[in-house]
Amino acid sequence: MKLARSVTFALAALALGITGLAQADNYPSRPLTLVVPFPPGGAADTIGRYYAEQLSTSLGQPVVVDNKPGAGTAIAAEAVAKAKPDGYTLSLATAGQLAILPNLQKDLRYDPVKDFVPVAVVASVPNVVAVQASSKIDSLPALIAEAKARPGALSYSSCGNGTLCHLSGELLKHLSGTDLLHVPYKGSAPAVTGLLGGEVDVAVDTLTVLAPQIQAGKLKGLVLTSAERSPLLPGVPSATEAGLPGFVASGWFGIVLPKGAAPELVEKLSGAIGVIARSPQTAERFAQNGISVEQGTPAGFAELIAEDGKRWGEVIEAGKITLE
Amino acid sequence: MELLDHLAIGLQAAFTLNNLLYCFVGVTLGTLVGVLPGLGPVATIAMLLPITYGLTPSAALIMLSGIYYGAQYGGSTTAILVNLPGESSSVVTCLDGHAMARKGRAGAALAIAAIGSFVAGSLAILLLAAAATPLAEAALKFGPAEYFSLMLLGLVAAIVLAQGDVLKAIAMTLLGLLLGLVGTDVNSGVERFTFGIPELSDGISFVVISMGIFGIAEIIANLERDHGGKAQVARVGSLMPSRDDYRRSWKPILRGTGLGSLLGILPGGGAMLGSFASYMIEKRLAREPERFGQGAIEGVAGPESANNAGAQTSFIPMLVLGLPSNAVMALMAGAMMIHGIVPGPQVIDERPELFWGLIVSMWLGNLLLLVLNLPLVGIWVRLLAVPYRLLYPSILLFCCIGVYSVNNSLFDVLLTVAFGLLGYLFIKLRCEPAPLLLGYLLGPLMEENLRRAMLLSRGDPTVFFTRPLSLTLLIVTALVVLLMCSPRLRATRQVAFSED
Amino acid sequence: MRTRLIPDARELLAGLLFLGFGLAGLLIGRDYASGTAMRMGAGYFPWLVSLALCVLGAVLLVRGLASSRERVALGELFQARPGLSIGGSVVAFALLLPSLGLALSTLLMTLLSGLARRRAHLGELTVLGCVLGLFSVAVFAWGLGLNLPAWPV
Repeated sequence: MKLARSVTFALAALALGITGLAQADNYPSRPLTLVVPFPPGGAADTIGRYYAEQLSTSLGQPVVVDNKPGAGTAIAAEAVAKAKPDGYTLSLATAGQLAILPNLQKDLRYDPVKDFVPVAVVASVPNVVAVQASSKIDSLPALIAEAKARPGALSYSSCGNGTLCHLSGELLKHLSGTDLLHVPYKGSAPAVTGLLGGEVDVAVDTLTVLAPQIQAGKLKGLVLTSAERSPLLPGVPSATEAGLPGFVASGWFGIVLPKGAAPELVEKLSGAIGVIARSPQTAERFAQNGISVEQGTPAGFAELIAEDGKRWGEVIEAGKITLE
Repeated sequence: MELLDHLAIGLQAAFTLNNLLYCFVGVTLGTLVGVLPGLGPVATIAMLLPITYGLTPSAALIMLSGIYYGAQYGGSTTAILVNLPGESSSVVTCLDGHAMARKGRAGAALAIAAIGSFVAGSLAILLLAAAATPLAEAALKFGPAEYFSLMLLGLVAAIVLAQGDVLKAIAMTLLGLLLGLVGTDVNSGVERFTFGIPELSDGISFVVISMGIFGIAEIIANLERDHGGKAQVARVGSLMPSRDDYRRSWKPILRGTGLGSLLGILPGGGAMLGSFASYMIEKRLAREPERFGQGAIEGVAGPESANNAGAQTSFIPMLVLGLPSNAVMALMAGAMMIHGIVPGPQVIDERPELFWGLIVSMWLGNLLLLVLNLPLVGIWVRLLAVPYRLLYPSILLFCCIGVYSVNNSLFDVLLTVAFGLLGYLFIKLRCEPAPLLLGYLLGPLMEENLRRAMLLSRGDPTVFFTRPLSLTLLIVTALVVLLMCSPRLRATRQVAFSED
Repeated sequence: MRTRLIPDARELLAGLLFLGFGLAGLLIGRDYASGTAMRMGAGYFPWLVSLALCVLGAVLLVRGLASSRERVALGELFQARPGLSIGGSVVAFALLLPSLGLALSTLLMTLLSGLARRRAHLGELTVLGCVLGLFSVAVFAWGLGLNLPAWPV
């Protein structure tokens, strides 16, 4: 029995190895699928579709977007982790999926490090801390001073418990030593509605969502959670300028393959993605949504995942954040 | 007259050949997916979103919104003919609409639904054109305390929906509340009642419950009674409403329009309450409330008007503030992003042709739908003559495909079977399903807002009484409860109870 | 036909059903945090609803026992055939769809659901199944581009 099984395994491994080699040469020879863990219409879908379209041209095979929303990216992650690592199933992955959720959810059904092979980071979006336009708070130091004067009296809305919006808010509390009341909402639109309606005093959400409101003069941006200002909101200071240099939080998106994908495939894909990322057309396409185009090597992406995973782990521990 | 200038811009934009064509395509598709049970506008728009890449932004938005309100028209057709609500808003239409169909008055019910929807749609669009911005600003004042009180009122309405036993109706509402809690809790992120099944972590979708409890359960129960193999709901009566029908319907249509328009504006999503609220009011105001549930045309006219009015005004938060209030609107905002338009407060000023073009096209679309739907009434009614033994496998197939299309999940199809068997049990035990669905829809919103209100008030429950709007809603709720216990309604309940 | 004072099985069963759901809710939800008035936990609302459901179920049960009307035996109330056939046909459809494809599984579902009626006409059902199968492939797989295999894989 045992012998038979190990022989079968060896044969299977051999077969996989051979097909793997054969594939690298003429890869891709049939249509590819890019799994997007969100429904059509959001930032992730927009990024995924753009890259799918561009990759179709550069790889010479159609890249079909497959939206698999649900369970805060877990359904897509699980499906991709179990997919054949033949390079024909790609996935868009987010910071939340690879760096935050693993720190929060004990019984996660996938391993963010072992189950995926990072290919390249493609885009990132910083967060913004905003208040109502009529608020008397008009800078980050003023917000911190107000929060210190009345501990726990100010509240902030986030796009959900355990999301990057929430963790950015907690990072702000942690770095500035203040106490703000966290009020989670079901996504960005209700969270921003909550601030516009005056239910909460502050909102922490993505540049994509808040920029139009700030441009229209409905809200005031106090700080951008990145090292540099955004051309979209030239009047909003960066974290360093606002006096809180460590307040950097970026929601990034990257392409990953299921575990076991051959290095040649990773290299080929990462090369193709790099060419797309460097084209000025790509930057232009995303600029008005506040999405920055990123590029890098597979190793660099792996490092980013590990680094952010560790950092958010610390914030989660310091803020005693749980999904309970 | 600023409004006239704006409408001129809109007319210019909407009357290009291209946009007219896509408006027509949108409403036709919408009617089609509305008629097919289970296949709703959310799934359809999500599937078609990538196709709109090649269109102009105006054409894309016009077509996608056409699918949305077109489905509101189409959804009532299935509800009336085969007692199958594909949309949360058509649950109420089933009650009296299908009862009318059973009495051979399907034609009148379908026609009144289309006419009511048209009137309501036109008036709501007028409201949208005249006062979108101030309404959007005003609606922002509706905070968590107000939402909670509104949901409480909605739950009381759920009990009024039932014709039989009040206790069973309350129990069904509570069971619905419990079913609505399945999935990830918004406030804490913890999964509840999911049994570790990933497909349940976003909750049970509405289509699964309604296709199970209404669709499959109804088929099983019908087959049990089936002896001759003839159609169960046949008997084709007159196609058009009588003079008496119009006399009874015009007031409910106007009241429904008002209610639906107001609830549709709420940024937290209140459009689905419109049809329930309208039904409750019509039943209260009617001279013979015992006719409700037995095929009262007011019970079709009011709710159908309310739901189409709400469908139009639910565009307000998205168009004016850039903040989508429901899943369809989130997809519309996504469609804007695909076309390089940032959804936000500037859209009205920066792209007036887009905003006003969409509004004019919505009115055009409603007109098209009326023209499209009235002649279709004859065809739909004839569909009832199809023998049931041929009809039910088709309904079964559409239910399955519809359920599958929501999440591309076969697990959902299996779950629908479970709800079908449960629904069959409910029919046998004389438990009406409508209150369960309303409880399911309101439960999560109610809990979310209760907890948020308590969090924001730092644990002080008086917040529900000190905010004027919330207090008003609570007083109305109390009044409805009192009236429910009043002798007149109790008497009618007893009549209904002893009849069965 | 009124007989002696025997409880209506429907009333009792309804009471038991709601009581059962309520108890299940309490049991499964017992570990969810209840929290404080300000920060209500995930368990507070489910606990409240489940408890109310238990109370209502119990009331229905007692009322059913007290105010008995006509006699309805459980055996006469339910028929197994339609439920088994319809439920089974949909289960088969869902389980076999990934391998059989839309066309064949639709045909299969139609045939199985036809068994719900005692005098099923096999020929007619086959024709109907083929028509529906082709229709669903044309409309759903091709027309709407639904992510489903059309033919056996």
